[in-house]
Amino acid sequence: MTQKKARRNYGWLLLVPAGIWYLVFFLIPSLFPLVFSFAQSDPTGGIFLRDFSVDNYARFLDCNFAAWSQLGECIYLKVFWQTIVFAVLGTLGCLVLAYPLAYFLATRVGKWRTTLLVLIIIPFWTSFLIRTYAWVVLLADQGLINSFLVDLGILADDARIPMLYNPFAVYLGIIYNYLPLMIFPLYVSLERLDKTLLEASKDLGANRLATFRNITLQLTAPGLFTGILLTFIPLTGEYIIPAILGGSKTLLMGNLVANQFLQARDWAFGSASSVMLIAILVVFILIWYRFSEGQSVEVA
Amino acid sequence: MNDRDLERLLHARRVTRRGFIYITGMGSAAAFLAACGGPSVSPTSAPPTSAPAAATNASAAPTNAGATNAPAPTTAAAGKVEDELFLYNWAEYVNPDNIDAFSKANNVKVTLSFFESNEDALAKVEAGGTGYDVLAPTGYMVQIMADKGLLMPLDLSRIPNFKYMGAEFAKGRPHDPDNKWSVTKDWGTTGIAWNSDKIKEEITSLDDFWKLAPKYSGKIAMMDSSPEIIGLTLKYLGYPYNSCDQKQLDEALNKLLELKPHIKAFDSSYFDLLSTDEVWMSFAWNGDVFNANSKRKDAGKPESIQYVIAKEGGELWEDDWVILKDAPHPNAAYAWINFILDPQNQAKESDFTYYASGEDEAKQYMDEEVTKNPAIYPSDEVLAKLEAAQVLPGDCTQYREELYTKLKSA
Amino acid sequence: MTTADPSALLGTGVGRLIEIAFRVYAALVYLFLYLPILIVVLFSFNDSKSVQAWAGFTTDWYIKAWQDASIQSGLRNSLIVATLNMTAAVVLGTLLAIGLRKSPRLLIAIFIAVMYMTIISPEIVTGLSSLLFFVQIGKWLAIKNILGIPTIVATHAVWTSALVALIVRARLASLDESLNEASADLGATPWRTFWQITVPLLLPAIISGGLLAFTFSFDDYVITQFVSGPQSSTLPIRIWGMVRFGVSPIINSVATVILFFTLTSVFLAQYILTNENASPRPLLVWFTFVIGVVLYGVGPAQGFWNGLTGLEGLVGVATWIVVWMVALIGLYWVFRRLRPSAGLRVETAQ
Repeated sequence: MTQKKARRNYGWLLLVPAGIWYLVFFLIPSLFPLVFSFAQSDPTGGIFLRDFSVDNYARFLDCNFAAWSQLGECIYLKVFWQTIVFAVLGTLGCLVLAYPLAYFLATRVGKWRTTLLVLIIIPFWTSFLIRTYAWVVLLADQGLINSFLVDLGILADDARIPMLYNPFAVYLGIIYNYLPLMIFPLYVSLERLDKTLLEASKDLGANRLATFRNITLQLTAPGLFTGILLTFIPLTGEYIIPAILGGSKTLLMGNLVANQFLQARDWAFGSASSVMLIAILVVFILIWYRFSEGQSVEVA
Repeated sequence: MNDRDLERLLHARRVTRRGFIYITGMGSAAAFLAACGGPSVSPTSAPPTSAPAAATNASAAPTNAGATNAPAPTTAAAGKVEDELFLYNWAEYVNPDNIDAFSKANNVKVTLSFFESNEDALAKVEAGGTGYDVLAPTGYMVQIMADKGLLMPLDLSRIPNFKYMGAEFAKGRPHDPDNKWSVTKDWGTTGIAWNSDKIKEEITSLDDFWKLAPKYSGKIAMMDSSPEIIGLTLKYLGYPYNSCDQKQLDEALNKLLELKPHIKAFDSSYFDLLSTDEVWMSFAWNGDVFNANSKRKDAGKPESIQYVIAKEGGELWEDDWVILKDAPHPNAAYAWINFILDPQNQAKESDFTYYASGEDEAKQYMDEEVTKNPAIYPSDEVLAKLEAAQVLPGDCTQYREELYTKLKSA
Repeated sequence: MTTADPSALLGTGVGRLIEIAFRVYAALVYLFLYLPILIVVLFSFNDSKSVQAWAGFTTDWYIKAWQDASIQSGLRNSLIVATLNMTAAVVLGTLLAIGLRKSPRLLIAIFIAVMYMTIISPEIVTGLSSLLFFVQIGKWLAIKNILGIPTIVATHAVWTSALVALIVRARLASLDESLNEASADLGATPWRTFWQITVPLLLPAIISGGLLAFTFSFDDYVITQFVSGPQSSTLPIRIWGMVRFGVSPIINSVATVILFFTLTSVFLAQYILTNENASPRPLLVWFTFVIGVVLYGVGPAQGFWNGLTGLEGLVGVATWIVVWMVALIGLYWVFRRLRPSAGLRVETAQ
């Protein structure tokens, strides 16, 4: 009994260092944009802390139904929606690409496992810009892949494949850069899978698909769940990859917030947009956690 | 009981508490000592050979000897010139030779930092505590910063070389009429660049740009910056560059939406696209054209990028030198500004950046290809068509930004 | 760690095809990951700034990068920040994940919300608010130049520790409580249980999280741009400043060098860690080489060889050497201790 009590005390203590860190270096600084979102912007940048108002939020949610034309729609909600769609598709792409690899590494590879994992992440120690511009070099109309194909005679010079400055390039770049965020949680969870369970399932007559669905997927759900969230969440704030690889022809929430703070010098509205994004996503996550916590299978 | 866990535990070595603390402690200690202890080396500016020259001897007395190549006297220093200077600037926007020469002449270690946009710089400077001394923002940003009390008022008597400044730049500049806060670094224009090797038509106006867009669809770019995009479109429609009229702005949006399907990319590094033939036509800042052409030369392509200021007009902009109010090294800042305003040094700047200087005197020291080039020094009649970007009232900026949002999310 | 024998698990025929498919797929993914890297490496040797044409082989760019003090200091700062950040993230994150396991539901909800907030929050907002915050602190505590490596690390550690915490938590969720209980029943204190049971079981997650934390800190631009001072510019900041005028081959050469060092270290570690009888000598030689290069090129060596006067210079350099040697010896010691011990087999009662 005494030992159980001691363990519980420890649990609480362990949260203190992180708690303090988050409080000081995140929550307190985050008060700035929160307060700003209820204030007015100085047209030359900065804030007037004059009146408390929810104008900025109203503006974000505003749909100008009066002018029912292309110019009169929900300007910012549209951007928000496009961002969500983009993030969902990107996450799906990452998942499809990452799962087989994570599965392979976790179950088929022995001595080289750690090395192969580290090899996944080494490209990311070259600068993000360098990697992304290397893709530009590869994918451009006048870039290496097209030029290579033209030189070989497979393509005509004026019939080059447009692989850059379009959604294809953007999703390629997304998947490329977010793969580790998806692979690592998946791997970490898959690695713990007890092979004997798989054997037992086979012995009991289940085919591979059934085994996968009933055993693997269920038992490694936490990893899947974490991987999806860890990829989806940062994706909602991503804007640099669509700018460089997509020709900056779309506007996502990340662009919006950056533009408001910089180009428009509208800190108040930028803060409000940011707070909206965070609030909506956090609510969504908490709901998903509620939902999934009740569904997860306890390891026997 | 999970046998996997047990196996894992028994096969792996235990991480003892001592081991863990030892390692992380050592690692952190190493890193911290590296960060704080040891001789700190502040980065000098970019030129590879400058390391020995620019490194400071802390004990050496700073001299005010004349600069090695400029005949003009250096600053009549109100105080001793400090031994460090922090410049905050656009990338590749100052001739490294000038930095070198200044460094040597005044025994000052110069550190360059770069910003991506004026607003980036504003955000940082406004938040404060940055440690920068001298900035090179664009004209309208000077006004904003001055209004916010971020700048140190200039004592022109400490900048004797100011006397060389051309008449238009010495007085009456819209954003700083009395040169209270800034002196002109250089100036340029915004117009149209196109590849005459690929586009056989002669482009002289924004009208041409819009008319040729469907023909060269997918071969067009423009910078990713709303003031220029909106401003030039307004000029095309015959409206003022700084218009705040909502009707006019809506028209501009429609015109841009017409163009959007043909645009390959919005990219402020459009000159890269021009240099690789990825695009053949773009809105452009004049200096970038030379950049594009020199890249083409490196790649063995014809230097066929042309620049023109549209018939309908364009933008005239200038970048200025300012000193931050809380600059830690004000004397060195004054010394720098005075140094760079020397006509010979101005000429070196223009030869490097391909942007025009505010000093007519400097022209005699410049390369002929720079002074004779209408893209750098346009004629007066062309200059008359240009407008300068202004600081717009809040709701106008807001409306324009919404326009930009709609354009991008369409 | 058991290596699954594919044929035992899935038989021949379709099973074999699947195995081949797995291998082919993995190879393709690694090709995908390294294709742009290949380009970068290739063009770092190109005798021209152009990225479209090959103009001959040269090592000029490497020499230029070597001499460029701003790149070196950028690299050094990046390494320092990333290492410190990784340490903080791993410590905070692991403690957080374990602590959350035994916490009341409300606390869990709060912490999870905050952790995800740190990841969701757009970098520009976090960067700017952190900047404002630090400047305020600087004013109150009358610290002149508050922005520097500590502020960068503090800000990075917020979201990288959340990353680590979430990954470790995922692993922890499928961990067995019974091992902990058994340990307690056998008389071990919670402290011992922690170090001898919990941490080793969590090691893959901790290492993964740590690697990710290091990487994202090393590569970060937006936040760092705001909270770094003029003397603590990291490599991404230097690179972004230069890249506006086209990716210079100098940058490519820096990337290639980083790649070279990391790949060599990784393969060496692989060799040492998995071969029982492997001599640690290659590793020692390698680390000596690394120290040498670091000391000469990235460390105080630049100023050292060119302006060494007085005692300060000597003492500083000596500190550097001692610290690096100790750190590397310590790392080597850890490597040795983590090597799988030979000959211990467990009979599983199944």
